[in-house]
Amino acid sequence: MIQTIGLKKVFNTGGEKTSVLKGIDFSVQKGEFVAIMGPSGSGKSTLLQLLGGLDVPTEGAIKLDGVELQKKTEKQRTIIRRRKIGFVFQSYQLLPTLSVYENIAFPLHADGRKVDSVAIHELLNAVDLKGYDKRFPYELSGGQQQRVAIARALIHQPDILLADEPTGNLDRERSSDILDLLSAFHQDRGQTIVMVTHDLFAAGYADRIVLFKDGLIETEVQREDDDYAEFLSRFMA
Amino acid sequence: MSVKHSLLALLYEKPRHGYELKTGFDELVESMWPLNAGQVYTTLDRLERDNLVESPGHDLKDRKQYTITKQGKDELWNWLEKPVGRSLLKDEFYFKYLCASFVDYKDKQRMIQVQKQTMMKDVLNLTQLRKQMNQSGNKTMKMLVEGALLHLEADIKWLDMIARD
Amino acid sequence: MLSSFLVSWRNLTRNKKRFFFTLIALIIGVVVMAGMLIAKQTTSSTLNHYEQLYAGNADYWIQSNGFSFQESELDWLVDREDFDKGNAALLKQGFVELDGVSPAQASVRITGVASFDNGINELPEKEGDVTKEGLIITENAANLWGKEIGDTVIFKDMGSMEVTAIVYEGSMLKSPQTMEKAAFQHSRVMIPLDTLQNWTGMEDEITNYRFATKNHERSDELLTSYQAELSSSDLYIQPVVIDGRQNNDMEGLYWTFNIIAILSVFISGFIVFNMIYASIIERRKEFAVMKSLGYTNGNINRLVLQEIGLLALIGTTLALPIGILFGGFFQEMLMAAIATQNITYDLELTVPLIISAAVGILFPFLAAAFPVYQAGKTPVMEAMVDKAAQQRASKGGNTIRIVAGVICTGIGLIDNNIAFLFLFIGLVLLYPLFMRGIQSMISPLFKWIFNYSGKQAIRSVKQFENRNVNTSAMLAIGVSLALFMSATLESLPDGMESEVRSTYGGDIHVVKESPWQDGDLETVEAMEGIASAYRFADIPNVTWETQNEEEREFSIMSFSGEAEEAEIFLITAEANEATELATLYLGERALAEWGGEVGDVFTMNTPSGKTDFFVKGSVQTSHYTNYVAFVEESTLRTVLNWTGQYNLAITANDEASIPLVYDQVWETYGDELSNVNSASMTVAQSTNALTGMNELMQGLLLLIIVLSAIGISNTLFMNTLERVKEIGTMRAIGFTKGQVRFMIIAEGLIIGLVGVIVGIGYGILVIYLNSQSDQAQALLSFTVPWTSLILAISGGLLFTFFASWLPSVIASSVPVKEAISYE
Repeated sequence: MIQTIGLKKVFNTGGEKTSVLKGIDFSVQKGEFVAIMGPSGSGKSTLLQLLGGLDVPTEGAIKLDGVELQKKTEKQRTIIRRRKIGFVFQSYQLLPTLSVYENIAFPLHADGRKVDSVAIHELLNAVDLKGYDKRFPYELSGGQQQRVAIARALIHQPDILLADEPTGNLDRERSSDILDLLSAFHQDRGQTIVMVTHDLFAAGYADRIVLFKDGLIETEVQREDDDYAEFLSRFMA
Repeated sequence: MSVKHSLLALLYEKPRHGYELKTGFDELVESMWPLNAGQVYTTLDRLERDNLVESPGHDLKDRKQYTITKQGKDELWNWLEKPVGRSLLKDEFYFKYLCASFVDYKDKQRMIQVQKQTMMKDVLNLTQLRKQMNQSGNKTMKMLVEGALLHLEADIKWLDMIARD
Repeated sequence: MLSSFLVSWRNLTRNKKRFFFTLIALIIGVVVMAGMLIAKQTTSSTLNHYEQLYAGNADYWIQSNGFSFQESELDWLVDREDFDKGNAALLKQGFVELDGVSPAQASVRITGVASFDNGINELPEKEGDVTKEGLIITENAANLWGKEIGDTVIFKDMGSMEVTAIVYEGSMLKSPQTMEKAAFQHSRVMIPLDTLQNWTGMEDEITNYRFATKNHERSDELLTSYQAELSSSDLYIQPVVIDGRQNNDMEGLYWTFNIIAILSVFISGFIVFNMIYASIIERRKEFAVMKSLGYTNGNINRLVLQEIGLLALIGTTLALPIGILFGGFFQEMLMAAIATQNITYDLELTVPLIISAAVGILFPFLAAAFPVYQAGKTPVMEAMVDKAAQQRASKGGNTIRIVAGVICTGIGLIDNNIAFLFLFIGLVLLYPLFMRGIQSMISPLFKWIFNYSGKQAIRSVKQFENRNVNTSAMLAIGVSLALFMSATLESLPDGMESEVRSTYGGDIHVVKESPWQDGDLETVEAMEGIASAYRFADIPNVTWETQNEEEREFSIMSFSGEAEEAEIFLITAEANEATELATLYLGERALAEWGGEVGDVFTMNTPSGKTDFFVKGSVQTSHYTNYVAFVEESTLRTVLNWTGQYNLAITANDEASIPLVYDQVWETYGDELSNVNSASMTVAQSTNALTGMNELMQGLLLLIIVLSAIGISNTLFMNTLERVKEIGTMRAIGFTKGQVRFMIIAEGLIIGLVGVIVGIGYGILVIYLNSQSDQAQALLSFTVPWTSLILAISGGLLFTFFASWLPSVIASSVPVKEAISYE
């Protein structure tokens, strides 16, 4: 689905070159839920931005369904983004002047697509915000805002959902709600999700955890059914 | 792990025979702690010997019934009341780390790395378990899992710390 | 102290683009104001200077009610104690010998002067020596005749003389620039008095005598004693008064300059307000932290005020030199538009620069008053947790605003100049209503053109409604004023023509050196193509004092018969009371300048000395820009001691016979004519001056629109800056750069379009109100200035488009990554 090859990113800050990504080979399969973990400054957010086409790498390639993102113009990347990618951010980033309904409809409008109001209401139900369509962001709690943001990120049925610290601004309980929600979309609808987090609790929801350290992948672990059984017997012994 | 006290707790609820104690235990730990019948009986014998339980006789199907004694109740309360101290070297990895340093083990970094990977996997699996607890509605068990996750978080942080040395 | 200013500087320039735009706005505001003030001050002092030159160093002058008098009649004067020095002059008409020109074009007015160097007359010397006795001509005459210093000029039937000096055009000596103009304006030259007396056989005859008193003493007692000496003669004395109001009406122009200066300062004040407001909102958190560390409101106010002071100081310092350049440039344009001759002038800088500097320093503080008050009020906790408190306009405040707006508009509809101001206050108050109304009308259009970006733009305009409304209102005021001015200038020539024709009196006015006798009248009436002719008097140099005791000078014209039927004026107000005094009618401007009212008593120094008149009425006339008085013919001899009538008004049979009449009059009386003028020439002259003004005004108003456009730019910058995160989000979830650009441009265009629409609406309303106004009705008709309308629409939209371009580019290049990552 999405694959990076030898991804490098160097930032120029005040004449000083900082290497944020130092050669990342990374891929996500369709239907996977991957968590990217690591301390701040380890390059995990930069990777997410590159995956979303918000930026281009200094070196290396990003392939989304075989399309090399780094070879596309900014406009082309935006169009790919609004068709294939959904974004969820730490600080929700709802558009304050738009109602909940309008926020969710935004990606469709931006792409000039017909707005499917049935789909929007279905999504609102799915994120447990039935009847909130006419509210405005400032009338909602943080957790509710993030659920709107998830609905907005999914309205155009993106191939891949990119979530950048989606629980970073929430307490543990609200975080669990959000993660359960993402998990449900992953399990019930096979939604591919890449989530950046520094929170072990959040990362645990994924199928796979990729640990970043100093711009490189430090280690990677995957949960498989047989090692779950093995885990249980060991854990309970 | 105190099988002894868990049996006392089960008997405190109601008198039971050996097999009932085994199923009761499985229920308590959501069948996640494999306990064999033999272990139950040897423990019961020890409890009877120490006058913590007694047997009023056999039931209709000729199974030996057990009840908790006054002494047994006291023991259970004492156990619940007593705080648990943490013992450093009971954690095997701590001990491994100590020994590895002692022998100047070359692959210490790798050792840490593999330990971390295992713990990360545990995080994935624990979250899965937590989800199951959530579904089955076993709140107490879910809290235990959360506790374990917190421990893991601290352990992984500690691993990062020693890896930097 | 130095470091605290350094901190202020850092705070100011924290957002470089915003600082730059604010500075530009401040500079333009101050530059325009300085330019206007310089132009106003320079023009008025230049006009004054030329009048002064004409007056020379004389304090009084003596004339006769006849054409000339014997110099010996003044022997008593030179013997007086208070007499210092004097200069006699004789004025005579003549012709220069030139090939292939008509008598009118060759006509020259010769001034014979007794002394060239006693300082009573001063001339702006260009070449040669003005103190040497000889022939002095002006620059224009030298060009027209092809003469240089040392060349000889021949005066037909008189003699010839060598040119000894060439001077710049001035009030004393001036000449037409071209031969076409020469047909209705004579050249004026100066030669020694005795030579002129010889040539014309008028030994010892002089036309006037100017003199200076010892220590330039002037007083009522002195004047009265001179008047007593002359009371039994044909001579009369007048103080030398510098008053150019009969020749030009500058008040309207000055008013326009003031309006433009005020408007530009107002707009740039608004831009500064925007900037400070935005910066304070941005720094709320910072202020809260400062307060939590022990800063008082006063400390924070001082901090912000220091920044504003620095901004004002930098802006004003940069603006003043540019203001001088602009003022100089503008003055040149203005002089080219209004002056009929080359005029030399020095820029008047001191007062305009002091005023501009003061305003430039002070108005940013005024603009900052509200934001600073807000900053001081910042509640610590609320700002620190940065509660996204949506400030919603209170409904009550809105209702009050609308009611006040309706009331102000109502007052504005009253026919009064000051009430007009209320119309514009009403406009600002009602603007949110207009904005919403027009927006809902044009929103389908925007959605159609800009798609979803257009829809978003409409929302964003609502998001920052106050700021956008104010910006748009500025533009609307600019556009409506522009339309009004250009409608005025467009319809003024038509109004002026009909006004000139309705109060000119006949078709041609001829002024002769000697009074028109009955025989002359018969001769003229017998000429071909003439329907009728009548005589009237025009007594020059009548002096009087305003109610503020300032000296003024104008002339009195005569009419015969009933005032209601007079051809040379229209009565606008009349007193009913009867009086024993002689009566006169005052031109409206003269009445306003004097400060009295119809029915009051008006005292003047006339050829018969100090005389009281009853002001019977006020009138409108095309003569002397309404700065003139009218008396009935019978009053001339009995009250004013004025015996001759030197002016003749001729009515031609039809338009076609006017040139014929012209030629015949020149042929018969050419050597005696001091002036010939016609209604058509007067119309042409006044409309010519207007055409020049029209372009100048359009240029200025363009400047106002440009300033408004900078305002729009600035507003869009603010809007963008406050929405960086939002725009970043839009980009992240699917807006292309193009869509963001479209959105910002659409926002700008909404602000601009509403401004243009409301501006046009109000412009037309103001034009209509003016055409209905009793005060201006005679001059202004209701015309929609289509060219300006189209210009306003296209110019307004074009400027707005450019104004939106830069903010749109900046908005579209908002770094998505930073905008969406953590706080």
